[in-house]
Amino acid sequence: MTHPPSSVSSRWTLIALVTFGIVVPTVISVVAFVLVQRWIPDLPNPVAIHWGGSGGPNRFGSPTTYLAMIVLAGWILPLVMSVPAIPFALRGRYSPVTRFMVDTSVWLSLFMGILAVGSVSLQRGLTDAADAPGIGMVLLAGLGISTAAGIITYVILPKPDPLGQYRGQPTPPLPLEPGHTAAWSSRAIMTSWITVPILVMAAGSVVFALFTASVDHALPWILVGTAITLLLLVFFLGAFHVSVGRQGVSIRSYAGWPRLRIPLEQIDSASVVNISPIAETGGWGWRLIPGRGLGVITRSGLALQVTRDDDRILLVTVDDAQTGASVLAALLDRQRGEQVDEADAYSN
Amino acid sequence: MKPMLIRIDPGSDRALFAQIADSIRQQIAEGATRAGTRLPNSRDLAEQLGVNLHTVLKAYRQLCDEGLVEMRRGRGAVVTRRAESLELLTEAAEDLLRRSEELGLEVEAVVALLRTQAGRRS
Repeated sequence: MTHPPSSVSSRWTLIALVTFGIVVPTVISVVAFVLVQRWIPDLPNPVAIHWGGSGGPNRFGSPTTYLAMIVLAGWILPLVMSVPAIPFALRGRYSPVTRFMVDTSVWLSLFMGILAVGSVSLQRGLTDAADAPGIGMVLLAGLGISTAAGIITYVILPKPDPLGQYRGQPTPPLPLEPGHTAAWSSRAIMTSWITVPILVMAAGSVVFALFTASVDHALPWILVGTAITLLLLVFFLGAFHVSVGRQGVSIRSYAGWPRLRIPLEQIDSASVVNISPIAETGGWGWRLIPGRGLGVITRSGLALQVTRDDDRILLVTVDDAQTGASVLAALLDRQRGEQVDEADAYSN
Repeated sequence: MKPMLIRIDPGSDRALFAQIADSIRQQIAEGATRAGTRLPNSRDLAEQLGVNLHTVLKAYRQLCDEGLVEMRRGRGAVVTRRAESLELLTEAAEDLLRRSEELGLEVEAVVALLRTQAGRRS
């Protein structure tokens, strides 16, 4: 299915992904965790956990908040992003998106680690957390160092093979008698594993907004904005109509937009591939696949892959992709046959 | 909307709308579509088949008249519960067709017989 890279390059890819995706974030998080833990006795309790626009701290809590932050945002979240890349590298697959995810994983763990360690170190020796200085420098240092580390990681990580990644099984065309035509319609519905949590998060945000309305001025609005954004995401990207026929491939959100159509004339081939959203397309939804094309990804599993004349691809995780690809293949053969006939007509 | 494959032959004598209806009816009979399944968007289907929008609408209306499909506001054409039952007749249909084959009869003759019997019963 994919063109397996040489065993040396794939071994190195695997080592690099494990090192930068798992070992580096873990080491960073352990170091940050140990530092913060050792400094807890020096800290005021409660400790400042959030700074406001004026420069001074405006929210206080237990020092263990920083430990939780390191574990959750500095370790677990980066691992969630980078671990799925491993089983895929084991099968010889490695895409620009995978590289980006591992890179982000390093950036995130370092940024969170610096943020936690920096915020805590500013408060060492204080008796009242309200006296804590501003964290502007910590933020800047965090951003700067993490970004630098991200760039270095990006350079060190191997270059993905841009073409070897997406070569699905070329699909045998549907048997189509001369003169006959066929059209196929299906749908791509976002998996409930994504939509349900998103809707729950939206509802939760609204509930939190109501609870914090009396305590904060900005937060409730941010939460409501978050809820609205999440609802809009589900509304526009939750479900798509997909059809194949004389007009080529057409994808249209149930909401009417976004939509996309690729006419037959621009299509080179159709095939079916097995997609893992996290490792290959960086997630679900309307995805840009750097250097390769576009993905409309609503679940993992079989997807229709349309390869254009300019080598860009379109991936859609549509139900019954096999039939869709065979219809498209048949229509493409038919079109090619007509083009040959036309060319003959001109030359004779 | 389950995946649906529609095939037509513009060169055939049978009207295009009838062929479209045939294709959909066939998938309903195969059990490929359950009650509540939406038919493809009519404009989309017309474009993809390269036929007039009214041809598709006529096919859908025919299926409506047959009780296999109903038009619902905001959802378009939807397969009815009654249509699901069509699958239950598959076995009986198989028997009928086998016998007619043994007797050397064409499908069209069987269809005509069914229509005649239906006319007698009502």
